[in-house]
Order: sequence, then C-alpha cells, then structure tokens
Amino acid sequence: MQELTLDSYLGQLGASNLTPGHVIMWAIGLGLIYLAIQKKYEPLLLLPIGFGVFVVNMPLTPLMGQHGEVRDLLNIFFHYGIEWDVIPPIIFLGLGALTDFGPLIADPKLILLGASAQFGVYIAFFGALSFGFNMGEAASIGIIGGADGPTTIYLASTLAPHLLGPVAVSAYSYMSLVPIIQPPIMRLLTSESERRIHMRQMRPVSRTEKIVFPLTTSLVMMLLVPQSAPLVSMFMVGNLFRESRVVERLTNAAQNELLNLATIFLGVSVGATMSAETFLQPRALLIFFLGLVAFACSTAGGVLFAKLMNLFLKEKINPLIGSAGVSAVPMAARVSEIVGLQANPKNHLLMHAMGPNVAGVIGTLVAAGSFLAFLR
Amino acid sequence: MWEQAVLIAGVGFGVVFVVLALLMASMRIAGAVMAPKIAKKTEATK
Repeated sequence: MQELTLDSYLGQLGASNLTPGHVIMWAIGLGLIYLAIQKKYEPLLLLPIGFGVFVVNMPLTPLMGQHGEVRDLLNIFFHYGIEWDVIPPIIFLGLGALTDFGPLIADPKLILLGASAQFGVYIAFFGALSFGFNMGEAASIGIIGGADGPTTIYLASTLAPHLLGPVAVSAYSYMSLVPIIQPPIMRLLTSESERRIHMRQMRPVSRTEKIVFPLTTSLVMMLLVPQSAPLVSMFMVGNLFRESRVVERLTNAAQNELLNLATIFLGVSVGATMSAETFLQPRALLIFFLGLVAFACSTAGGVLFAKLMNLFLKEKINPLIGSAGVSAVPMAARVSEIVGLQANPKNHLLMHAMGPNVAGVIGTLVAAGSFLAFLR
Repeated sequence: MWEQAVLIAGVGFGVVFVVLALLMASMRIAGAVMAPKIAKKTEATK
C-alpha cells in the first residue's frame, strides 16, 4: 500500500490534474448539449455525445481507460459496441424498420440522384489526401459527405478509429445544419423557373413491390459490394419486417427500444472518444472544414445531376429534390420542400424528395463498402 | 499514392452508379409487373 500523505491525496483529485485542454473540451461538450436542448439540432445524438465529451474530460475518471484486460465503463461500450461493429448495424435495423421506400419505388429514376449526391464524398477524399491524411483517414473524412451517421461511424471505426470522435461529431453537426447549409447552394445552382417546376403526384405502390425491394436490394448490393453486407443486411431486414406487416412486435422493437438503446450507447461512446489529447489538434479543425466541403459538394452534385437528367427527360423533375440525395433523412427532403414552396407555394416536393433521400442512404452504403473493399 | 486514390474514387463512384442503376432497373421491372394489378384494383375501388 502506498504511504498516505496529504500530497498524494491531493494528487489524486481531478481538480489538481485539470488542464486548459480539459476546460476547452467541457466548453465543446456543453456547446453540443446547448445545441441539442436549446436549438434542437439532432438532439438524439448531440445530447449523449455532448455529455460523453463533458464527462470523459474530467481528469483521472475511470471511464475510457484500459488496465490490462480490464476496461472502464465507457471503454466497454466503445469496444464492444463500436470497435466490434455492433451498434451501427443495430441502428440500421431500426432505420430500415422506419423507412418507407414507397416514394423511391414509385419513381425509380430518382435513385440516381442518391448516387450523384455522393460526389462530395470523393471531393473531400481527395481534399483530405492533399492535406496529408492517409487513405483510410481520407475515406473516413470523405464519407461525412454522405450525411449518414452510422455509416460514417462504421467506416471510421474500421479505417481510422483514432479519428472517430471528430469525424462523427462533424457528420452529426452538419446533418443538423442541413437547413442552413443547403438552401444557399440550391438557390445558387438553380434558376427561379427551375425551382418552380411542378411535379405531379406519384403512382400508388403495391405491397408486393415494397416486399420485393429489400430482397432485391440485398441481392444486388451483397453481390456487388459484399463489404457493405453488415449494414445493408440489417437495414433491409428491418425494412422487410415493416413491409411484411406480419411481425409487428419485431418492427416495433426495432423502431423503438432497440434503436433508442443503440442510440444512447452510440452517442455516449462517440463523445467519450473526444478527449482533449486526441481532439484539440489542428487536424480536428481540418476534418470539420473538409466535412463542410463534402456536404456542400454532395448537395451541389445532387442538384446538378437533376439538371442534367432534365436534358433527357420529357417530364422534367424539379432540381431542388437533387439536394435530398445527401441522406440526412428526412431533413434534407424537408429542405427541398421548403425551398420549393418559396418558389411555388402550390408545389409540394416532400414526397418526391423522399425518393432521393432514401436512395442517398443506399448510395452512401455502397460508397463505404467500396472504400472498405480497397482499404481494409 | 495519387494513382491509387484516383482508382479508388473512380471505381467507387462508378460502383455507386452501377448498383443504384441496377436497383432502378429491378424496381422498373417490379413496377411493370405490378402496374396492371394496381390499375385493376384502382378501377375496382372507383
């Protein structure tokens, strides 16, 4: 046993070991908590992330450490939940059970907007490489442009686990800022007359089509991008639960309890990776900058591709729905609706924008799967 | 390194389009098969 002196006792107090870095991280954590509670920006994630950041930066707390085989509490959540790739697929199960692919099935060509809105992923990938990040790190930063939190975390935890905190926080922050980031880009790239293009009501979609969709999607994606299977399989089985209408209990569990539990552990664990030593570096600022570039370019990619499609289509589509290709379901689709209504108060684009919106999730999964195929 | 990066990005972005285009085709086929049945149902409910 160590000899007990007043000095040794004081040395074990958190307050004696406090550094300016810790205090800055508290401010960041509290800032995220403020955004979640006061501004309601992605509160389901920013609140637990913010709290995770706050508590993990209390010096000497046994939360994220590892002593031989023994791990501290949040380290256990992080290790078994994220490093073992358990939580992101569970979140996808819940998302699948919540997602209605009807608008996409009704107008399948809109799926291409979900592909074009991955443009920013690759622009940010090159941007990150030019700033000196390695391939795995650049891919993890680029995928922020897909605006899909669980996919970003899944990819970063595999290719660049040391960047997980800033990458995840950047992704969720920009997703919450979709209503601020996207409209100026959408207006800049479209004319008033394009924003007024009216889109007629979609056709009804049968139950059979909705049941066939998750099966064919699983087949195509797993044959062509097998690396995306953990996320795709969970996403599609959740959707099959929903559309089959015969396993209501499972659908409810996936949509509610399971998704909520996974969200809690995901948020707190991600926040807990953001210690002052790892986060307060110029690289973290660069990641935030590149994340913004990725997001903006993805938005532009979707809008410009919609305009390109209009060159070949008899019945024009409103290019504003292209921006919804950046996943961020359903906020990006709502932004398309709002900007569209400003140009033409009788033109409701929400359901049309939901097509590219859910297609964007699939597009990001494919992009992540391709990165994994090359870089794992 | 840059050659590799161009390959990864080029193939990756290409695969995104190919996979989603295949899904589009599969949805179109399913839609074409189901369209007469949906039309019949709609007619019946009128």
